[in-house]
Amino acid sequence: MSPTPEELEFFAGQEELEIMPRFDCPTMWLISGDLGPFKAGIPNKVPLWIALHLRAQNKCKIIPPPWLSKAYLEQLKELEIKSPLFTKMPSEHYMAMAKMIFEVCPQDIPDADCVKLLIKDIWDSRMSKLRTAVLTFIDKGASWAKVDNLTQLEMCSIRPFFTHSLEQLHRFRKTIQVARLYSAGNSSEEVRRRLRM
Amino acid sequence: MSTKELRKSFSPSYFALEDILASQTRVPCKTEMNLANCGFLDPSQENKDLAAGTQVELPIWAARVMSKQKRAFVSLRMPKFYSESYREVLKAEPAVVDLNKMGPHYYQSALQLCTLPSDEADKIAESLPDILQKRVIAMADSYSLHRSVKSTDDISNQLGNSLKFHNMDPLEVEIFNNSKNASEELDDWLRS
Amino acid sequence: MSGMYGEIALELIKELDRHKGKLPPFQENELRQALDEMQILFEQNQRDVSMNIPGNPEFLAALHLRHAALERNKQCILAYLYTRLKVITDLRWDHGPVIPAEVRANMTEQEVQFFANYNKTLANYMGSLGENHGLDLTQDLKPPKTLMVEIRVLQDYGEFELEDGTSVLLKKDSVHFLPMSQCEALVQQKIVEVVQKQKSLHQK
Repeated sequence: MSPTPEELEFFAGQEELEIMPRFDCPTMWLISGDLGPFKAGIPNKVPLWIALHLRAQNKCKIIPPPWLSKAYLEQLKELEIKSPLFTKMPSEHYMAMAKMIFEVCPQDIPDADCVKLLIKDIWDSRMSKLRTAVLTFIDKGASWAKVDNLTQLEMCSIRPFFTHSLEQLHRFRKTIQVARLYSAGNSSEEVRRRLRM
Repeated sequence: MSTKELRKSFSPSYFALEDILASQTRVPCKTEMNLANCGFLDPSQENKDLAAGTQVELPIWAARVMSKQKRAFVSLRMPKFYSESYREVLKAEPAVVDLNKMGPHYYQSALQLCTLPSDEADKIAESLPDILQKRVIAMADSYSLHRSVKSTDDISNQLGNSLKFHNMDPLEVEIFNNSKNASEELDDWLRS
Repeated sequence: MSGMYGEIALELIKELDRHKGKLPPFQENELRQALDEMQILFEQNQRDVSMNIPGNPEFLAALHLRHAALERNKQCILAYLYTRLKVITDLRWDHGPVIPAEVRANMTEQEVQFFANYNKTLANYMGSLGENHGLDLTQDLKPPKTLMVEIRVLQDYGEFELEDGTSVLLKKDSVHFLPMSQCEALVQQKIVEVVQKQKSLHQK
């Protein structure tokens, strides 16, 4: 089964993020790994979901990942628009991470409005590229496509349209061979025997 | 999540309602010999037997057993909507044709017809992928459009050459609805 | 017999197809008639076979046709019963362990029994998970984001008792702040909806 956007957001929550704690706390031993120790004013890496949880309670400040900045994204946008193929994104979960951080603390991101817009532009540009690619693929009856650097969330946008269409087309094409044997006047037994060969 | 949300693509099976409904499509048959006790197949007469050379229409499931014998009881022609003239129309403008009216299970019936002894089976089978291919492309414009548009047919009207919802085969409706739901799911997530 | 064989059994299938994913009233009558038709077909074939009509192909046609019709009826009936059971198992996930009265009215005794058994099997399985602490698989169908959630009541429900013993009055259009785990069933039954509070990246 293919993951839903909500599930992918959950996965994105496992990505590491740097925070600037506003509290002191010794190491916590959790099932998923050790956390801390935290010391106010000393940056530390934690999973995104914990970072946002702490941030919501005002216990830390988020240090945005280097790619979540105006300068970086402007460059990335340029590359994406120029390239006929998909550009490599700084994170598999770039969209979900950006969305989650913006939900909780846009004030921690410099040039927040601009950054938000750039992310959206990059997403939109990739979406339209993907759409064109999918339609060309179906139209040409192609059997393979190069989709390097596509993120899982982006694939959500073409599923199940793409997969289901192809499955049905494949099912139809398989019937042609059978039909040809029947048209040639073969009996059911003969057809079955030939298909086994 | 309930099993229906797993969103599988249609595949034929013994229990599939679509398959059963599709095998009800009527096939024009001609009796190749005198058929005892089969008079009831021809509603226009009241004889007990069916004379050789009589024209009757049988559903696919019955036509199958009557035609696929060492010595066939009936010979068959393909139904009107699968004839060459209709195939030509579909080939010329696949996205405009009302497959729902021609079916309603146009594709699935066709796939079953293709396994009957007929010299047209291969041509019908060959026509199918092209039709679906053109039609799903015509569909792609409409499913991802904004929900502010009230009905899917409004969308088709807006887009002009798009595939109209009420012209879709059930197989296409399924692809359309699944795609639309997934697209809305992603949209909802992006906006939440 | 008038018309083609298998027409009544097909009605069963058409009825389900008209109510995709829903449970229309069980068609006891049509099912009975389809079974009667099968009985007649079987007896006719028995008779023809016992009369030992010697390899005369003219007689074979009716024999083959009736046999195919038997199979056809059987397929329609089994598909009818099977599809209904699939809808019934889905009910468990959409509505919880209690079937809504209006759906219940459309079910046969056996179907109600099947639902009860399915319920029991699922409960046993869920109880055996997590080193016998049990895990409710019908909960958290989407990854939870927060422990508490703001909900708006869509239809009057009345008193709703929480796990800690306190209770809230769920009145249409009232808004509450509740533990996500406890109101998820209500969300699924569309009694309440989750209030979206966050502003978004993609708002247009």
